[in-house]
Amino acid sequence: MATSYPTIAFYPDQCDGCGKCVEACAKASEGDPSPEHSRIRVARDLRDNSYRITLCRQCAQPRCVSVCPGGALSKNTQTGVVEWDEERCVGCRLCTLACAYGGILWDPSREKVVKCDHCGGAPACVDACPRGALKLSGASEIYRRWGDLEDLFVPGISACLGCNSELLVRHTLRRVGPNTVVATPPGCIAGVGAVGVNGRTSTKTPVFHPLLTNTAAMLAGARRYYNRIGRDVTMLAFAGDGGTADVGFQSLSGAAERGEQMIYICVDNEGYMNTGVQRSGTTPYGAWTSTTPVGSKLRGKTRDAKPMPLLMVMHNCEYVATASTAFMEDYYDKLDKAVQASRRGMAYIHVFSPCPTGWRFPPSELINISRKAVETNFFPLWEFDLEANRLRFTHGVADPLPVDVFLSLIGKYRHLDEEQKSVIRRKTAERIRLLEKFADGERPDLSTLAA
Amino acid sequence: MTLYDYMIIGCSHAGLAAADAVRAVDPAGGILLVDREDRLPYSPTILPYVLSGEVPPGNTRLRDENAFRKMRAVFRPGEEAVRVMAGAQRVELSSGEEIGYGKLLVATGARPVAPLIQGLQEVSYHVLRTMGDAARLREHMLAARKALILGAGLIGMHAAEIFSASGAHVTVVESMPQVLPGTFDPGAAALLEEVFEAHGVRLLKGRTALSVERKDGGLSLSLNTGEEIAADLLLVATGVRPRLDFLEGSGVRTDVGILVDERMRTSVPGIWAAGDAAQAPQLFGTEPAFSPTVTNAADQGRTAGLDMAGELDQVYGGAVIASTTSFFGHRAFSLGLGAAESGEEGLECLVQSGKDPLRYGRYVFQGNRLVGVVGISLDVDPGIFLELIRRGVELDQVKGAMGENPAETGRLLMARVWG
Repeated sequence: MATSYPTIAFYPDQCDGCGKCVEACAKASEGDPSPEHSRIRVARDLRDNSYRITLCRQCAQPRCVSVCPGGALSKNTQTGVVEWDEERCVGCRLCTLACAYGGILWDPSREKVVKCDHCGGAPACVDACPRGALKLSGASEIYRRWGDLEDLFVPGISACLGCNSELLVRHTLRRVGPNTVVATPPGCIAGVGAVGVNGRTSTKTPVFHPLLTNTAAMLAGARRYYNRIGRDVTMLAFAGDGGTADVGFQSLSGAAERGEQMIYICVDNEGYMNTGVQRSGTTPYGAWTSTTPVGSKLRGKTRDAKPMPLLMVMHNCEYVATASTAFMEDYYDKLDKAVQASRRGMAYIHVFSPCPTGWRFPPSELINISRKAVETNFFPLWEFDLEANRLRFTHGVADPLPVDVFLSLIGKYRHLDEEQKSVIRRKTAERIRLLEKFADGERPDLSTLAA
Repeated sequence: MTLYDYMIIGCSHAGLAAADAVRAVDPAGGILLVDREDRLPYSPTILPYVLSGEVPPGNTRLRDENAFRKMRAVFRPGEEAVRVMAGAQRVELSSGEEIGYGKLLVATGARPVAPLIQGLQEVSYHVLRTMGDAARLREHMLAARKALILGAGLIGMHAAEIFSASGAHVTVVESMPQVLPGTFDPGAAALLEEVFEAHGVRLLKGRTALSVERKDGGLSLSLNTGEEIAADLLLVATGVRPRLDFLEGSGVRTDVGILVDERMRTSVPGIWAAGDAAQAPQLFGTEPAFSPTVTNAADQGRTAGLDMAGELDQVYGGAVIASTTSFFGHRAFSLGLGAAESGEEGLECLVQSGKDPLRYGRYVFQGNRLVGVVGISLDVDPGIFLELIRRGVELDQVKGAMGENPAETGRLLMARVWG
């Protein structure tokens, strides 16, 4: 099985050639900030006054390793770093001929080759850059932790180009695993064939198609039967916002109040997308849909969305969380918790799920939009644990981007006038204030609210 | 009879690069590597450093048993291939055992060849191609007073420096008019020669050795000029050639080396060759040529391994000179057509030279492309220049900047084009 590693990423748009990375590297590695010791170098492109760096790429099939006659270079398969052993090096510099990136350099004053070693995991250059032009990307962690899991959905389901739901369900079922019964009511997910086609399932687990009104009730029944015959099988729902907040709410509310054991994932694309982009209870204020159109009389939806995740907290669910596919590590952590919580009762995860077709944006913008939603506080990431009686943010809300940055990316908000935008800004700020009241230290014991 | 999906004969740079490449593509296929030496694999390039004492002979290896285990490859040292039966897809080893293979890579390298000198077989002389050679030569060197080296190539000149450091009086005999012919241009070679001569090394260029005989407890070499050189140690470093008698009857076509195409395939399907044993397509030039260097060996091994494992999109860009050498505290490298004469085929050269400190840069262009570089104590990234040469990058306006600021120009091009 292949693996992946943290990597130092360079963002040339942020670089102004200050050279602090070079100094920091030389200092950290040789105790002397003189640039000839540095493993990272900066070159200036006079054509457009931009900057480029030279740095070891920690190649997967390192050429330097293949030419070293002393066996002094080797790829550490744990860390991904191509390591240099001073004891074995004879200074022949064949490595400097083999590397096409200038990644291994001759230090004339120390008379040896030098190359980046990630400073043992906390690269000095990354810390030193004042403009964020260097970052240590840890996205590989997801792949290392979860890359060996099997995608239990088959290929060939026919989602739109750039569909968030397909991304979501594949990752979810990888993590939740094969000992699962999947339920998905009418909507896009079933519509693309996730239940199955022509008598065959699209999942390598049992899967069924409840009515739009009764997903939670049917899963509750299935679970009770498995319990009765002594089998611990996870129940997993992928329901759209219509089947969760609107016609599905009654059965969901009942199942939550009864503490039925399941993981219920609301895939919130803020509308009935499968049937033609009609508005739902989770469509936000101002959004265009086919039933809240933009014209002379109406300028998108006039009412705000139902705060589904908070409503589920009020049901005393074992675990409630919001999630975004732009924050996969966060999502996988939440799935871990949901699986555990579903043994005791309901785990509800509300996933922000932009729809390129219904919201009108280029498919390539999906992840960017999912990320901006979180970074503008439009869709904050938080979780609630009943046992600890605690709600906490899993992504910082202290320094958000302006919500207009998010709105401007999406076609369904294109018509918004200044007044509507200011309403959205206000509501976004209020949402955080309300959540902060529920968050650690301020949250009242909800059980006291029952009559 | 044991059968392996992949069998690799020869375990130095080419063989190991091939094994790595196979494993990168095929996680499950059985890989067997055999090598005629009964030790962990090593590179002939390390031997001058063993000779100098810098590297203890027991402490150098390209890979250890752990690494073979991790990659799930079987390594059998001390096994020499004596016959390849291509039809039956079997290799006979010196022990008599036969191994069946699915795909075979011949990476057996090359051995030193001595020029035809009358009397050479009757005197004792050294070569430097195996660990055993290095150990014997070192022992002799420590006792020798007058060392004589035939051949002023990379090995010969490195040995000259080492002999000189050990306190011996050193003479190098070279048939061409300069040292390191073919690798360095006359200008660079002249600078190198000055440094060697300043350290007391006697360079006899443009002379051929005619005969040698034992004399006064040592030996005496007669040159075509009539000169006679006395020595108590003789190192023959006049070049290497692959020894391919084990391929007789296999149908594999050979010339100086095993002829291969741009995928390292030989004329026999199912058999590949790479490294010093191979005669591969060249980056410059239309005919496959014998070009034994470490970088070529590693790249060819990788190409062969990928092709063997079914990764069919890879083709070899062609062998190219890429050499590095150090001498008396200076360092030099040569890439591509760095040593070519200007005027040849529209080549133009830019030369910058300085003596105190010693610095030399020779950039060879063909039209708008860099085709070669020679450097002495030049602070650039040779690997970046080599890649520029390989890719035939159009230099446009930066061609002028090459001479002024080669390091930064190289890095910018790298970042723009493939970085």
